[in-house]
Amino acid sequence: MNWDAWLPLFIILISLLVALAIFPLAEEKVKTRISLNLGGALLKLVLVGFMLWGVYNGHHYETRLPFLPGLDLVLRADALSMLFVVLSTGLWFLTTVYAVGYLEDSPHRSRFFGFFSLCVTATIGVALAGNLITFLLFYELLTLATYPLIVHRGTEASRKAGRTYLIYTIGGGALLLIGTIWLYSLSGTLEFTTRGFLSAVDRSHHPALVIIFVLLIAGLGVKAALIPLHGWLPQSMVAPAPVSALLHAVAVVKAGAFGIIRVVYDVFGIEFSASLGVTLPLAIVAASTIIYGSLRALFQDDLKRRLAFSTVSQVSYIVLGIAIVGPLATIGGLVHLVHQGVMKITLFFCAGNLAETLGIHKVSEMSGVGKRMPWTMVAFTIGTLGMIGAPPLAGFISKWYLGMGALEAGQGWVVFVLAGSSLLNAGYFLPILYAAWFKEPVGNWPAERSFGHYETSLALLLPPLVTALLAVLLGLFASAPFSPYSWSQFITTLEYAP
Amino acid sequence: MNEILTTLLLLAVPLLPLLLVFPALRSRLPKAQFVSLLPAVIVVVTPVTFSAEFSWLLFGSALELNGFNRLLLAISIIVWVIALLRVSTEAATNNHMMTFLLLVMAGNFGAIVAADLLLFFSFTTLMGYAFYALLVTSDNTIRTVARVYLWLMIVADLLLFEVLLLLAVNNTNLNFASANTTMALSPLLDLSLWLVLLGFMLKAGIWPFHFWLSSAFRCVKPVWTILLAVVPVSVALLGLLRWLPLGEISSPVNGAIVQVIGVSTLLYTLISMLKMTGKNNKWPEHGIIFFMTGLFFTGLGTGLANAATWSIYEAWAYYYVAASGLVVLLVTLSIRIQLRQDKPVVQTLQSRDSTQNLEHFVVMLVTRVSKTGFYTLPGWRAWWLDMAKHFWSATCCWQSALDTSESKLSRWPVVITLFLLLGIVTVYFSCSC
Repeated sequence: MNWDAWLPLFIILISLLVALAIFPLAEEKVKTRISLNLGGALLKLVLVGFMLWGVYNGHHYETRLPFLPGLDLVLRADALSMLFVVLSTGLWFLTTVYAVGYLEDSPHRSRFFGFFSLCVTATIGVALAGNLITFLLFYELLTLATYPLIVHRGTEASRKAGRTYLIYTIGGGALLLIGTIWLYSLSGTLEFTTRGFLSAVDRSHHPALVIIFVLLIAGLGVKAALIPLHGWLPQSMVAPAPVSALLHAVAVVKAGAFGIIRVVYDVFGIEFSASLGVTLPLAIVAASTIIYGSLRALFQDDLKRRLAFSTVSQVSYIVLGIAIVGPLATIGGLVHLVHQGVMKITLFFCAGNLAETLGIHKVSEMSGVGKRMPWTMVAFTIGTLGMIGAPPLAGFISKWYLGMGALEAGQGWVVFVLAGSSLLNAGYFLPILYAAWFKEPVGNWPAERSFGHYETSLALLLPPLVTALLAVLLGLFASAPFSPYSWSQFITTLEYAP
Repeated sequence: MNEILTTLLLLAVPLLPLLLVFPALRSRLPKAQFVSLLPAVIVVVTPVTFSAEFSWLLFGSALELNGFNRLLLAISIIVWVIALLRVSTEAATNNHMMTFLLLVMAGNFGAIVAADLLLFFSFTTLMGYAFYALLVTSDNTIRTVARVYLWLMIVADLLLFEVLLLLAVNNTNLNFASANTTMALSPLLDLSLWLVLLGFMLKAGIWPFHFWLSSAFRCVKPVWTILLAVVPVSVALLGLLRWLPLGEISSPVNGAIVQVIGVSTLLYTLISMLKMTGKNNKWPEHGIIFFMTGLFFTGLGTGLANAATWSIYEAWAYYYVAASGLVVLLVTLSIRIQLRQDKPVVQTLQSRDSTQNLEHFVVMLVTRVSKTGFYTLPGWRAWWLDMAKHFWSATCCWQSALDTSESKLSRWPVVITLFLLLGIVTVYFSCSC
């Protein structure tokens, strides 16, 4: 048996099988469900580690299944896909641990964890897709699998949020489908190729290619929460904390941002995109989203909504890095794909801890919470300082390369956007830290629960501490082999090779 | 001396205080705050040039202890010993205070032994944030001043970050000598110079950005005034010496402007000291700092204007920075001993000073912006959404279809399974064809 040809499919099937096994499980089968979840996540982690090592050493992993005449379903592990696969798999494991603690006494856990695994299946599929049609299928599966997670609580607010999410994402999917079909009719292929496959298309088709680019980016921009397509993201914050973490750091917004990277680099090719004149408008949209998201975050009292608008802002750093044509900016964008995920998931884990342990949902309720939950707030502090870009945390590395890339590409205005965004980030994050650490608590907490020896359940406490530690290590040891920075350098070398 | 040992010792100078930040480790050591000084003391008294490169740290960083920064480190240790002695009782009961003290110490020592711009920047940032937290934890009355300090520091960090980017885009090697040469040859020399000057002027509270520093001195306890002199001010002056391409460029115009700033600071200090001495018959300590920074800027301007002059007197600039810490320490102590009081000169600000004016303005601005952000804009948005919703519900019927599917959420796995089955069947038929 040729392992190299089947490994990508195996990796996807693991979480799919876990999902199908969990769906019919009775609610009281807690141990079986946890074993299936964690076992699947661990097995996937091991296989992904194996594949990462293989890709680093030049192995070619590709599963190809016939789908439609002339179009195959292709799963391929390349350097870019591995960046996303490792992020999703690693964070899935931590999020599963967290979700086990978070949903300890909740109803419909089998349904939740089933969709949770399905969601990761779709995300890994998006990451490993070797052509646009495979990408599209998994992208749509992601929409379908995430919707039940958003409406999981079954409240009126969650149903409304789910409805909004579905409208936005199905609309985006439709645009993506139209763009994909049009593209296929023009080029005759949808295969992702390093440096793109469209530069050979006849010049007379260039106006059509610009429209296709807009269609594809609009379709992907919905999940990447580019303005004005971001409306679903803050509303989806009614979902449980693990789902928010999944939406913001592991799966949905990342799938959108990753799709934009694929379209710009491996469909159009960065040089061809620049020659079409589409990269500058994309950079302007991304920059506007960065500032808009930060401004909206300033005025949110609801902690998760504040974090959601922060995501709207932060994910656009990735798009901005891609749209500034140049190797250094690309490194910044790619690195931020991982770094933002690690930092943002820390913040959502902490927000979940505060809600679950003390019933805190609003920033105005956080006075003195640092004394009650010091470890959670230490993790939160690291996450926020990383988001602001304080050295030597992970966020600093991203901003450093984005800034350098902007200067290298002669787009100095981006540096002002980054500086403005950092100030705004400080504006909406530092008051939270001040209230948590230096203000005295006002009366009792909204709904306090006791967890014995620790400040909260260990399953809730460990994941944010691990991800916070990762946020420090990823910044401090940025140059280490296999770090996101080193890996992004590796990808950039391929994309910009002479 | 063994290379590994010197590297470990040098690394331990900022790392040990950082490790002892964790209460679990700290509680296992007697007098942990003094133990944290140990590596620094050892490297200062060992007559060897310490140097270590860490290719894995950030983008490749280095630490170094040579003649100049050895002196600075020695003075800093003295200041820290005195500061720790004076807060030992308070810090023993206040866990947070000890945490922030150790963080400031790590940042301070790290900035002194850093051999490249990026590491220096990282340590000063750590020091700045921790110093803000330390001020707020130790003395709640200076919350306002500390907030102004924090915001100025953030702006200063952004300015310095821009300089780092401008330099790194031309030369990835950011050690001090290499970065100075890059800046000297840069077509954006003037911009880089002023970004560095403004950044460190904000950090050090140099006139005309001095307001937070004078207010802080009037409010805080003596022990913090000692640290105020050594931590933000001395390190910022050191930063100017390290970051500016002094001795490599002669820029008469920029030099003259810096000299004007220096002389203005001196004049301001003289006038304000005369005014205050007349009023209270007391000699304010922060006057010493302003006086010293004024002199420093006058000298710095001369060095910027003429590279040859700087080359002759360069060493003295480092001695001056080291000595300034010691002088401020001695003067502060002597004044406090003379006054025989170990409490703030002014517990709270009695009259509205410049910091309060600024704060008042900021509060007013924030209130106005908050009102707009929290009420006016959401109000408009709600009105707009209401209009859109009205229009939407009048024209669409999709909502009821979705409502039905939501209420039957249990059937959603069936939808997904059908979707997957469809995929599998398509693949199967494609394969068989």
